[in-house]
This record gives sequence, structure tokens and C-alpha cells, in this order.
Amino acid sequence: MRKTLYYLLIAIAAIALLAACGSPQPAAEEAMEEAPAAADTSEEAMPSSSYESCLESQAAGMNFCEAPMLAERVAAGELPPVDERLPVNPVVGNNRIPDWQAVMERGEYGGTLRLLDFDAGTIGHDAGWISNEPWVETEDIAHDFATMTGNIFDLEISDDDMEFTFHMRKGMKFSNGADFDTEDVQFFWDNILHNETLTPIIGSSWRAGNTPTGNVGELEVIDRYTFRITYDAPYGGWPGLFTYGGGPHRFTDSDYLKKFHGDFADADELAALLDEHGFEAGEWNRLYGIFNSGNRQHETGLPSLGPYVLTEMGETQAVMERNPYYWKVDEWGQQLPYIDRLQISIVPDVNAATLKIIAGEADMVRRGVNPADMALYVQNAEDKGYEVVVLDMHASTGEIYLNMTYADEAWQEVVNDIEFRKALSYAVDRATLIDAVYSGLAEPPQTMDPTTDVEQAEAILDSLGLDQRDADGCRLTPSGLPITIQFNFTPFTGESLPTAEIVAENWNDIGICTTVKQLEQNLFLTQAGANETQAMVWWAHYPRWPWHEANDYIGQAWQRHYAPLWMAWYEWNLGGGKAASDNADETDPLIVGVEPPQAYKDLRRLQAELFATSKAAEHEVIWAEMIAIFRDNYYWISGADPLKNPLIVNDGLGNVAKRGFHIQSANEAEFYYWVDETRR
Amino acid sequence: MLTQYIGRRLLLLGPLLFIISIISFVLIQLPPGDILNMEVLRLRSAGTQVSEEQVEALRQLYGLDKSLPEQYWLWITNILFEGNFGTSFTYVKPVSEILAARVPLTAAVSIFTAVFVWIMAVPIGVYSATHQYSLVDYFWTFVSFIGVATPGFLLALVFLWMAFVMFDISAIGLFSQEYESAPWSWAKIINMLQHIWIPIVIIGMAHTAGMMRTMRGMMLDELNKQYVITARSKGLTETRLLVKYPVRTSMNPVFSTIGWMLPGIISGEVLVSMVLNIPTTGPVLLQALLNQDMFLAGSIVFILSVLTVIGTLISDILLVWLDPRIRYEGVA
Repeated sequence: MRKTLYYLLIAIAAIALLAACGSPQPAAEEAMEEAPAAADTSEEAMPSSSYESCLESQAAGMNFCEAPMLAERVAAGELPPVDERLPVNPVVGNNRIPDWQAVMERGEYGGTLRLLDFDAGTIGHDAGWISNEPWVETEDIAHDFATMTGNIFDLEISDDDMEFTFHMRKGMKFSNGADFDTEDVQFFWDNILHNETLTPIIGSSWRAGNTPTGNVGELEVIDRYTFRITYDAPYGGWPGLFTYGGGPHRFTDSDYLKKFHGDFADADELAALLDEHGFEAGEWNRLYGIFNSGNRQHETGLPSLGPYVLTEMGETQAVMERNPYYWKVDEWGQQLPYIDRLQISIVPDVNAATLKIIAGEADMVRRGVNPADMALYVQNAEDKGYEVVVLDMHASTGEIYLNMTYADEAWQEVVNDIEFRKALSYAVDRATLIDAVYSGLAEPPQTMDPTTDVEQAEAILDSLGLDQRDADGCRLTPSGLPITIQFNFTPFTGESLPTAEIVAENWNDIGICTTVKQLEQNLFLTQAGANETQAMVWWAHYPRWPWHEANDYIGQAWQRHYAPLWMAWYEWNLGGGKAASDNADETDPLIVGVEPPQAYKDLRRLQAELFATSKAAEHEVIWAEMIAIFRDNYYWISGADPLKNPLIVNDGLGNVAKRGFHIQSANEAEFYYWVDETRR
Repeated sequence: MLTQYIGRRLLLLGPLLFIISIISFVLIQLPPGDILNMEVLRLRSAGTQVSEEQVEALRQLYGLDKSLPEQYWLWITNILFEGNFGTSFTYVKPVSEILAARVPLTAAVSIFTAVFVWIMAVPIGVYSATHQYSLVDYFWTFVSFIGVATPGFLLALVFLWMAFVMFDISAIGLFSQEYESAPWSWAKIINMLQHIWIPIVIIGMAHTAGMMRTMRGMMLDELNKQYVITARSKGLTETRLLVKYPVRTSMNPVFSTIGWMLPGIISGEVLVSMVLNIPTTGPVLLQALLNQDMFLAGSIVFILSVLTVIGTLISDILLVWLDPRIRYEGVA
């Protein structure tokens, strides 16, 4: 027995020893809590705020003032003085967030903002969006041209909507201190956009009317700070494509890019770089692509125009520091941003993100939130010092699409009748969807028809002559075929599975026999594109983005959701498909498509008109007509809209808009500052 | 005899690895669609508009304009002649760079775990066998059944929850935040040791339980054999007798699993690493497979297969060397 105890003791001791190794964790936590107290005392000893020192430097003759972190580097001779780093006409104050969402206070410099993402190998989406600098800005994400102001450029549009004159900011610089002027624009135009290796196809956003068949505009450099782009047809809606996100092009210092550009780089240096990055000789375009990959940045040292530049890119953490040359100031002349540093934790998935959020280890989380964890967030908010702000989503994650051109005899007999689609929409139990799928964080559709009325749905189906049923209770078409729907989804968002199940049940209840099928994401997309999907749950950016993601509401997005063969018809007959084909007698419906009904043609015509004009009043009229078309035609069925999503915001963080759109509030980081002095 | 045996095994390696390389490359390409779909989806879901020229640029960036055999040929020749495993699509970095950042930590976790498993399982297994049906035996039997039956990721979740409730921390990651991106130093190593025991205990739990049972079973078989009784009757001390004969024989399963350990050291435990946010290669492989990041996934699968083959060879050799009976069987 004594021996027994002996072994037991060894085992316990071994475990205890291991456990002891880990116990300093909570101790470290305590140390962190104590640190702010120490900061408090030093604060008392030196009571000057950064604004007071700003007033001092302005009194000494400077126009602008800067963060203490940069002032030190200026004093050490590493940076030129702030007035030399900023353009003569910096952007002043906030042009994006309307007053009803937030009024920006005067901030204080310093501190670190902790972000969170699960996008391995990059800075992630929240920091990516913070880094975005659109060419021009409009208020909110409504793209209302009446509120347009300059951002990177000031823009003048000619009366005929064909000439776009861009005024650059004199003395504006990239984060490496290099001048940003028309030389960089010219380099982009000649050697990136018009370089066939880098841009094999010039996209429709650069073509008049945003159509693949429109002509590419012409660039004319007027002087060092002015350039003009001219189209041969009205394209007044073009700026709508660059009032948000990264714009049609994200500029980087051309001298920096020349190091990777096959036409400019030194051959030996380029070969070494290619080898270092594991590319074949001659694949400089792939090397170049690394430095040109949208807003999911992963390379340090890339000169940018954003408020923060990437300084460290690790496996589980990325760090960005303020851009010393950032070209925006607040109303008091302080160079933005206020906060020194972004620290981005990269976690494996959304569940790990939740754990970090409820432990209070992130200061601002947009993309890493999961509405299903709402209760957990709220439960820990007070203890951990953060606020859960519920805001509108810019996208809708559980839209229901019917494929008008799905090749099934019974389906084709009924689906092209608007009344049939209306009946399917009426059958959808929106109250249950909102409760069960969105935990109540959504509203019944505002733009689309919100009616839920099962009796009327059945009455409509009966009146269409679909009142006969087979042995399984499935309604029959007038010619006696059972109407069945195979309803596909892929778990890209958590909403798709429950939405598909609830809607399938609703449809079965009115005698439209529906089976739900889950597909792997890639297979789902491939099938949808090949017209092999009958109905699906998918997400969309409508109805808030008339310009951005304009393909969403005409059913032509990447996944071709509601009528793939109509899209094919447009491409074949109007998009130059027929002209480019060797076989003019082509009959394959996947290639020649099916002629769409007049209402859809009207929708496409209106979209072209929308892109042609820059007049906000006209936009309003056209957009209303377009909405009426997709509302009346039930090309898709909306379950809920807008959806709401929680935004996690540290209690000590100031200047965060707590109304409006989720994605927007999380992006205006140059204005955030630490109200909580201990965090500065 | 032994050299001939090893030689024959080595000869078989070449063709085997060639077939493995083809299978690992083709398997990853089998699902429909490609990385481009995933990337465009990801960009769009984040609210970024993706234009045709961006899609085309991405297609070139990923080298998807080449045919499948061409892609394979480039991939395998680069590995063989330049040690270049290609470029990951999602990370836009050479595969070797991604692995270099993660393999050392993965190896550290795996090796520590293996040591933990041996230290725990062998003595307890031996003890349980020699004191069969004692209170301690029942206790460890009970514990090991729970250990075998509970998936590691569940233990990890329970642990995270406990750490959160009791210590108010999110016990994920391998370093404290201040050391996350610091260069390697003693302080950082100590900081890592403070965190690393969590995955070790959690991953080790299931293995320990399994090995404990095996050890106990093997020992029980051996203990009743004639030679043990003979040795005992000759007056050998109990400890000396146990260690010299039955324990040695019972260790065979331990050595035969070394072969599987080798790839395990590199791949790490996927689910537990995901849950605990340990930057091992496991989550990278999982993500690479989901995203159809074929060079990254293909290279990891290939490396792991090579290691499995080599590991099996090593454990065969070890067994032959350790246990003369296997040698004789080989001759027969």
C-alpha cells in the first residue's frame, strides 16, 4: 500500500509541477492591471495634454502638430517637420460619418488599438478596411453623390459626364516620404493598367458605362498635380465605384513598384527577388501581385496612403504603426490618426475570437463577431469594459434565390409566372426566420415585399391551376407533373443552413415539395454558374450598393444566382460573345442563353442609365424604378433586411459612431482616440 | 542480415514516394472549383468589390493558367532540384517560409507531448499491471477510459472555459501578447514554457490513456510467462526482474509507434491546435485544404507522407534491433 501511495505521489507531483509552470499566467494579468496605476502618477507629474503642446507648436509658427511619437523622431532627425510632411491642403476633419451618427471630438494622441481577425497570413479585414482610402468620399455608405467630397483627390465632373478632372493634393506623400503626384498616376496608367502581362483584361470599371464592351478611358496629365480621364460615352456614375473601399486602384509609390516591374527592374535584382519568393524566371507579374493584393495586406515595407503601415507580420499577430505622412488633420490642426498603433491578433476561427472578446482582449471587433454569441458578449461586457453596439449590416446573408432558367420541365411550366414566385414569397415565415436564424437581430424586409400570408399563398397557387396533388401531397403543374424544388446551400455563413431548413418547411407546407441539400462551397458555386441549381440561399449586398456590387441585383455576380441563362443571353448577344465566337450557329443554351423578359431588360437598361449620370436627383429616380422592378418581380425572396450585427467597442475608446452601418463605424479609425487616459 | 533488410526497404522508398507525390498533388485538385473561387468569395464577403481584372490578375498570381501536369511537373522538379515547395496562395509566401515559422514550435509541442506521454504512461502501466485489481489500478483504469473516450478538442474547450471562469483570461496562444512578435530570447522561451504545458497535457491525455492500457495489457501477458517465474524463483529482486525482462518486451508497442510519431511531430494535433490557437502546422494544413491552396496542402501532405515512410522504416529497424525474435522471423 505504501508503494501505491508512492507512485500516486509521483504522478500528482508531476502534474502539479506542470501546472505550476503555467500559474504565472494570472500573475502576468495582475501585473498588467497594475501598470495603468503607474501611468496615472506620471500623468499627474506632467499634466500637459497633446493638444496643449499642439497649441504651443502652432504659436511657434507651425501650421500643424503631430503625435509625440513622431515629434521624437523629428527631434532625432529621422523625419522632416510635420508641416513638410503634410500636403499644403490636407483633408480636414471628417467627411464620411454624418452628424447624426457621431460628432468627432478633439482627440488625444497615443496608445494601441487591439483588433482581432481569423484571416491567416494577413492583417485581416478590420485593419484592411481601416487602411482603405477611397479616391473621393460620400457620406455614409449610401453613395449619395450630393454629399461627395474629395479624399485622395478632389474631383470635377464635366456637365456631359464624360470628363473627370482629378486634383491631387500638393505635397502629399506616401508613407515612405516619396511624393505622390501625377508621375505615379501616369505610371499606373501606362505600366500597370495598360501592361498586358499585369492586366490581361482591362475590367469594365475602366470602360465607359461600366460595361465589358465600353471603351477604356483616356488619361491626360495636365500638370504635376492635375490629371483628367475622359470617356467616349457618359459615365457619370463612375465615382460611385470609388467612394468606398480601395477605389478602382490603390496607389503605391511608383519608384518602389519599379523594383518588381519587369520593364523597369534591374535584371539581377529581379532574378534574386523571384528566387527568394519561389517564383520562376519571367514570372515577375506574380511577384508584383504580392504587392498588389487588395486590402488583405501581408507585406511590410509597402508604401501606402493609409493611416497605418504594416511593421510586423507574424503567425499570430500583426502590428501596424501610424503613417508619419498621413495627409489628414482634425479641425484643430492635429495630424491624424490619434492612436499610435494597431495590434492585430490572428486567431484560428470565429470561436477563438469570441473567447478573446469576452475576455476583454480586443478593443474593436467587427468581422470577428458572431451574432449567435450575442448573449455571451452582453453577459461579459460590463465586467470586461466593452460595449456591444448593435448596428445595421451592409449585406444580407440569407437571401433566397429561385433560378428562372433551371432546365426542369415542371419548373419551367411555373417559375416564370410572377404569381407563382409571389406565392413562394408569401409562404416564407419571416417572423420565425428573424427569431430562429438571427436571434431577433433583424427586421422584416424594408425594400422587398415583407408579406407572410400562407393562406393567400395557397390561394394564389390554387388560382394558377396548381390545385391537384400527387400521392405525396406535392402540387402538380397543369400538365400533371409534380413541382419539386431542390434547395441548395453551402455553409459559407452560419445563416444559410437554418434559413434553408425553415424555408423548405414553409414551402412543403403549401404543397411545393422541397428538399434541402448542403454542398461543399466550391461545388455549390460551380453548379450555380453552370445553371444546375434550382434554388439557393446566398448572400447579397443589395439594396444599399447601387454601384458597388452592382452585379448582385442583376443576378450576375460571381455565383450567378437567379437566372444564369439570361446572363448568358446578354453576353452572347450584347457582350460581344457572338462576334468573338467561331460558331455563329451555336445552340448550346449555356452559351447562347435564353432571352429574358421585358422587365429584366428594363432593369438592365436602367442600370446602364444609372451608370451614365452623376446627378444625384436622377440616381434617386432611377434607383427607385430599379427597386420597383426587383420588388415586383420576385427574382429573389428576402427573409429579413436589414440584419443587425454587434460591434464590440472598448468603453475607453472615443469617436466611434454608434449609429449607422456596422462596417463603416469600424473603419474610421483615424478618428478613434483613447478617452481612457491609461490606454494612451 | 540487417543491412540487407534495410537496403531492400530503402530501394522500395523511391517508387513509393513518387506515387505518393502524384496522389497528394492530384487529390488536392480533385474537388471542383479552385482557390480563385475562394479568394474572390472572401474578398466579396468582406465588402471588397472584385473586378474582372483583379480576378485575372489573381489567376496569374496563382499560376492557374497552366495545365495540371505542367503544374505538377514544376512543383515536383522544384522540390527535387531546388528544395522549393512552391508558393502558398493564401499566404502569398513560399511554402518553406510558412513551414519554417511553424515547424519548430510544432516539433516542440509534439516532442514534449511524447515525453510527457512516456513519463506518465510507462510507469503507471507497469504499476497497474503488477498491482492488478488494486485500488490504484482501478483508479488509473477509470482515468484512462475517460482519457481515451474524451476527444482532445473537448478537453481543450473545457479547459478554456475553466481558465476563463477561474482566472479571467483567454488561455489561447503559445505566448503572452508582449512576446508574440518579440525575437527569440530566454524570456520568450520561458514565456513559451509557461503556456506550452496546456496543449501538452491536453494532447497527451488521450495518448497517455491509450499507451497506459497497452502497457498494462502487454505487461500482464508477460508477467505470467514461464521466464518471469523462473527468474523470480532464482531470487532476482522484483524491480530488477521487472525492468530487465517483461518491461523491455512490453516496450515494443512504444517503439513501433515512433514511426507514426515522426509525421505527428511535424503535423501537430489539428483540432486542439485550432481550439487553443497554437501556431502549429495542423491548422495551416486544414485551412490549406479548405481553401484548395494546393501547393501548401500538397507540400505538407507530401512531407508528412515522406516522414511516415521514413518513420516506419526507423521503427522497423529499432524493433529488429531491440527484439531478436523479430530478426529470426525475418530470416525464416
